[in-house]
Amino acid sequence: MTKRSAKEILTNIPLFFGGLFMIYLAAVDETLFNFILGKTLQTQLTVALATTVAAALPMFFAVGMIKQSIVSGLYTIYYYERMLQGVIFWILTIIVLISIAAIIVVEGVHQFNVPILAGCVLLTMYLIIYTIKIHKKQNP
Amino acid sequence: MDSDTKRKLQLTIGFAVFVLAVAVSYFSVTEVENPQRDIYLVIDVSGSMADQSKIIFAKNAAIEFVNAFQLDNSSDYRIGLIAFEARVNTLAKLTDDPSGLKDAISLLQAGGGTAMGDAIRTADDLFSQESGSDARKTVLLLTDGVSNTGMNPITAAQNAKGSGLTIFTVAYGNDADFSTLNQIATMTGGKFYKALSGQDLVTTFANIADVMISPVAHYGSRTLILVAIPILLFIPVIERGVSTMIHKAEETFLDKRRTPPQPTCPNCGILNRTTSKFCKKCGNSLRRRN
Repeated sequence: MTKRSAKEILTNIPLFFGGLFMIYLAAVDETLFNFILGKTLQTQLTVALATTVAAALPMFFAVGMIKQSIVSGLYTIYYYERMLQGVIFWILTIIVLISIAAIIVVEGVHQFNVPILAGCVLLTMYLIIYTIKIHKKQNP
Repeated sequence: MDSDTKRKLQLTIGFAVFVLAVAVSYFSVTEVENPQRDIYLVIDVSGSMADQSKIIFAKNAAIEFVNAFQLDNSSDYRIGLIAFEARVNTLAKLTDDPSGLKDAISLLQAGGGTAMGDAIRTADDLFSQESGSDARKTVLLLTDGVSNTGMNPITAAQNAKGSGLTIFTVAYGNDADFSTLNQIATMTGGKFYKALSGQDLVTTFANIADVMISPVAHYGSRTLILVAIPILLFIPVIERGVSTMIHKAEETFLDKRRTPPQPTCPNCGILNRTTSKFCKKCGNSLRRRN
């Protein structure tokens, strides 16, 4: 294995697992959903909106992470592709993760959300390093 | 079509898919039919519950649980309390009076064996006496140990399942019988929880209350959104796949049209295969002679 491919795998594995974690947040985790519903009156519309935000937001970033890690040959829509090339996508991902972590801390940490909190913190740390690397590469 | 228009078209199609998913999700949010839900809190007060103030945390958790339902006369919920050690005591029958229930909870005292199966059977009997046929019957079973007397808990759970009971089980501490509790919950359509500390127990009870109270089912709509996002983003791949398929279908169709007709034998008039060189009936050469 060449040095370059080993380095690529090392970059891609955490991104891939990060993507899986984001899919978990989108599919199963109730933190964002409960937070939104807790702040609004519970109607059919607010439930639909909370569901949309809680599922769509993490999934939007999950797709980008999985795409960059294992299916980089497949093209997404032009504007998303441009977003992925820059640092803005990763900064937005970090903001979403920090928001979820903050909600967990504010609402109360317990045995069910500790793994989510740990996942958010670890992924945020990795993405900060990854973003700095990309930024340095683009602005040497 | 120039590339800029194509990009904008892809974006528009993507958003249309997303908006459609959100619209469908709006209509698929359904309110859970909410008939009467009757709940029996079945709490282990065996001797081991006296250790490390477990009984105090159990009381706190039970009171938080009762508070979460905001019981009153107009409430759809009724809660009762059963305490068990080697014997089973019904401390409160199903009621919507929170103060009476809290008084009963404060009476819990630890001491004795663990007759888990008997406790489940008692809850089952009480439901059959007190609950209507359309009421959802739920047991929240808390224990920190292993059943060591009375009826086998799995048998009791099987009977309870037959009566339509759902049993949520909570294992308190590391000495609880995780596998039996998990089996009981799975068997009756409930859920199994572990609470390793007193604080965990309070949070666990609050979570179970949330699960029981939640008035909406939104998982169907959530799945729709989850599927719509990758479709939205991978439209170029989908488009390429579809156009390749169309192209291949066209080629296959054209190939079929290009296929030469089946040759007829000039001698006997029989229709032969396209690739045949000699007639299958008379053996005459099918090649045209110049």
